[in-house]
Amino acid sequence: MSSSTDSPTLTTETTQLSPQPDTETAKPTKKITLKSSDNQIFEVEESVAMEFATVKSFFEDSPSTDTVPLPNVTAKPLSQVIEFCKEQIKFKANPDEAQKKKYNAEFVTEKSDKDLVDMIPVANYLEIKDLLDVLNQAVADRIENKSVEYVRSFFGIDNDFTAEEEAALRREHAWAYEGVDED
Amino acid sequence: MRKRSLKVSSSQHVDRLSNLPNHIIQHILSFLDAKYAVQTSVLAKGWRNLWTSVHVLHLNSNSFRRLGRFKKFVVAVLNKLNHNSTAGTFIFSYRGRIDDYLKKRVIYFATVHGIDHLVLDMGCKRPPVSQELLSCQTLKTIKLKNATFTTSFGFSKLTTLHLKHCLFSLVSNCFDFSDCLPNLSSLSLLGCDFTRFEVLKISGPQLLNVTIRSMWYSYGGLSKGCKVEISAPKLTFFSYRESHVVDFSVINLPSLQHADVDVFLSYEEENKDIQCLLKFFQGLYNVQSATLSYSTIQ
Repeated sequence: MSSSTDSPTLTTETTQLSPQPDTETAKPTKKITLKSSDNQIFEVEESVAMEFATVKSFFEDSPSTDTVPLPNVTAKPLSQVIEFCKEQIKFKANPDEAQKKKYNAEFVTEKSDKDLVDMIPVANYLEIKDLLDVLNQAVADRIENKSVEYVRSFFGIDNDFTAEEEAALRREHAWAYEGVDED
Repeated sequence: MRKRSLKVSSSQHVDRLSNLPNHIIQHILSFLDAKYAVQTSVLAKGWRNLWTSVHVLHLNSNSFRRLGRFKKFVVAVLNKLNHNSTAGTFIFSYRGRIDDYLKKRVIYFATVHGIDHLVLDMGCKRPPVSQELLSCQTLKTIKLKNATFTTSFGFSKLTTLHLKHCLFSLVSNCFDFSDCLPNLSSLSLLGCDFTRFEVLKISGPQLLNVTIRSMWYSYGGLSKGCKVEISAPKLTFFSYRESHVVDFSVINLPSLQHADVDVFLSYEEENKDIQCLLKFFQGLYNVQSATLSYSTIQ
């Protein structure tokens, strides 16, 4: 017997539309230029750029600009963030929750720890809430049930406790330690 | 506490996440089971109290091998958060038989901290839902598993009510999900025991979707001759699955768009069941899509 508590979903008749014709050939869409802190140029469709709340409000304030400088964002995480948002636009046009979930899961699974963590401040700065949720969930999944030492090295945290302070804190929270997984 | 600034340009920088603002770290910690959220307090001085401001508090007995240790843990966490909880969502899941003290502490926390979304699995034995919870008027979501209702209830702000494996043991021949839930938009009943009632009434001015599943009488779901009255002006989605055919004696669903029905027909009363189904589908007008599947049970 099934035991899912999820909200109801339609299980049948989800019409599988054939892939949308390439919008670039269908009609010319407005492009927006983004410039990363390491001076790389990204040309993206307006619909994708508008997913970035920061870019959107930049355009609302100064509509005549053609290039948006992103001083806090380097090229690599930015290109990954753009890739994610392009897919989300497709799901907006043609909603399919199952496919979207699958894509989001694959998007984070194939990323290294570093790529994942590097994208978080970018998603935060550009105010892309959906991506931030996906990334933060993925990071939580990777550190859950790991030792303190593992989590420190995952995040690159310098331990500024003295050995005595740390031992005292562990004693204070002794009730939270039982059966941590091997790293 | 170390000052955190939003500085990301040096991606080769070693100290990665600690450059993130606290609200991002609290967001990450909100996805963690509380056991691991608490353990982050020893990462560095700046992390010491971050776990206490999570938005979602997850307490799950499956994170502990021994239930005694879990109980100690829950009491310690709830004591720590007693005066300054920032959690809007509280998730508590227990395996085994919960004792009265732990149940009391959990319900107290859930009802005095202005929690919006409450997800509770009370473990085996389906303990009764206490009056404190039933009179809590701040809740917007209740997802409750393995509990017993001994009185009726009313929640003025509640928009989502999902009940799984819950027993309704009220002295009455009719159970009514109606007037007392004025803002309810989503109702889900899974494998709940309504066998004491001859009539189940579901109505609500704001109801948008209703799901009833796994309510076959042999498994203690709806009684065999139960009449179901469903009346909701805004309802767009209705699902009735993995259950026997019941008599939908009142159907008033003018906005319904999707009906999803998957039922067992009983061998002895097949004709009667088919009559009931016909009556049900006649009651659905305006419907845009309907799925019907059934299997015959001897």
